[in-house]
Amino acid sequence: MEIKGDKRGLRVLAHGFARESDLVEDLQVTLRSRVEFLGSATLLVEVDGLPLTATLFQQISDIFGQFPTLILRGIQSPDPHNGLLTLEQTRSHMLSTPMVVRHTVRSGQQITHQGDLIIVGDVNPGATLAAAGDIFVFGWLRGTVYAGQPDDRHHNIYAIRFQPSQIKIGDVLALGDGNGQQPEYAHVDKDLIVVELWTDVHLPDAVATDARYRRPDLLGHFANSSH
Amino acid sequence: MGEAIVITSGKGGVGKTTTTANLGAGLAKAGNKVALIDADIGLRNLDVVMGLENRIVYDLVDVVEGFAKLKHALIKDKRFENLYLLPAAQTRDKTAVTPDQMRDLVGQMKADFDFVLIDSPAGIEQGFKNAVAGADKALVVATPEVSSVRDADRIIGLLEAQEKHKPFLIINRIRADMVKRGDMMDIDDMIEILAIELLGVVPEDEAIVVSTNRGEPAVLNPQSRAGEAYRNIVRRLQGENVPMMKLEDDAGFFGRLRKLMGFKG
Repeated sequence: MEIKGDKRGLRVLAHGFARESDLVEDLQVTLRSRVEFLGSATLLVEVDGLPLTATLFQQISDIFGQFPTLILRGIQSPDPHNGLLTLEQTRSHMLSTPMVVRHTVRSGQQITHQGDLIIVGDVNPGATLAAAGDIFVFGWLRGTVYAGQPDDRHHNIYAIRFQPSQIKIGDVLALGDGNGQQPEYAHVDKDLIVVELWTDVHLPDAVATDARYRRPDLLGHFANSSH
Repeated sequence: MGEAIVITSGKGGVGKTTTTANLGAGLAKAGNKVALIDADIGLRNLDVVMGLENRIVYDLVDVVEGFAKLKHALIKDKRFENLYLLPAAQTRDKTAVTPDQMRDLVGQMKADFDFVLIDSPAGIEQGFKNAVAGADKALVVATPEVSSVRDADRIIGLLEAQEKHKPFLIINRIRADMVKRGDMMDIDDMIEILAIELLGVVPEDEAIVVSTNRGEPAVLNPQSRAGEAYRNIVRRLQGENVPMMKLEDDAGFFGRLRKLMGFKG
């Protein structure tokens, strides 16, 4: 990774990475080798070729946490549509429109979204969701879900059946207890995750009126569908 | 033009090979022309379960690499004129063939057979990708254990991502007495998580161990409970509508739907 300085300040150019993990690894190596030279510099990380997701923000700020002398001024994309995103802006103003996922999220599958995330279906054990905003699961929640990423505790996690294996809101983490037989939601109260009854449940129109989401597949016959 | 069906699971030891052998024998007994492909290269088993291991001359890799013709590598079954096995190579590994080669091979075999059953290896790596490459339909075998259901879920996710296979579930080795005591996951628990269509439930049966060791598929044994379950699955594969064998109360299928609809109002 290259570090460039101009009138806008010092920029770390994180260009051409195919995967978030590669970017993060390289960033760590780059900072470690230059940390003495950089002194107490303020840096801007410029990401090209990867979407600026909540997890990427989290990981980049975690890396900077390992180098206390360096200050992360922001993470930006050279793409004019994205403009310059400072960390401050990403917290609440830059949330994307909600993302609706209309299938069961299965073990090993991972969905991240820089905004609210709505799942019409189940989230199975071994599946992972991460969102910058709230998370709604219209089905069984049995997987791992992170809301308000990276660090906004003012978000909730809702599920029709709330049995997560692990949840995180902002930076507060909790393990599931496997119970949960009615609609519930989780929020942060004084550094603790609290789960309460979700009493004002109403399905979005798309779910309530469209028969596709009532899982007719459970009642079908093999013969009908294959021959 | 026949149909290619892959039998897969993710987890090992849940009964993929036994299921392949029994469904193959059952389909052949019903008069279909059937080919079994052992895609577990390097750990071949299907020939043993079929009782055909000492007849192997050429194998799948020989065919793919052009050392043998398909008709020379196919082994005719002892019991049925219309059942053939294409064995895996034992001296090679999963990287010896590619998904494209498997797709070509299976496509070629579909022209000659009514059913081509592909026995997939455990795992989600190259061997799995090879096994599913040419298949039209996938049967996911799972036992009533949390680990098996988790792996089956992963496999179903991978199959759905390809948008080519509609996976069907076979629940294997269920024990009604343990389910009743609450010591084993029941069918509803498994369907609730996996949410795919159930093709059959095979009870735990000691006759399977005996028949596997003897190389005589249990589907041919009229006394075996598991054999009966396999015979039912065979009929469903041929398009018949066969009710599920009674293991215990099955009201729960509708229970799930009712629960979901309950939130509408």
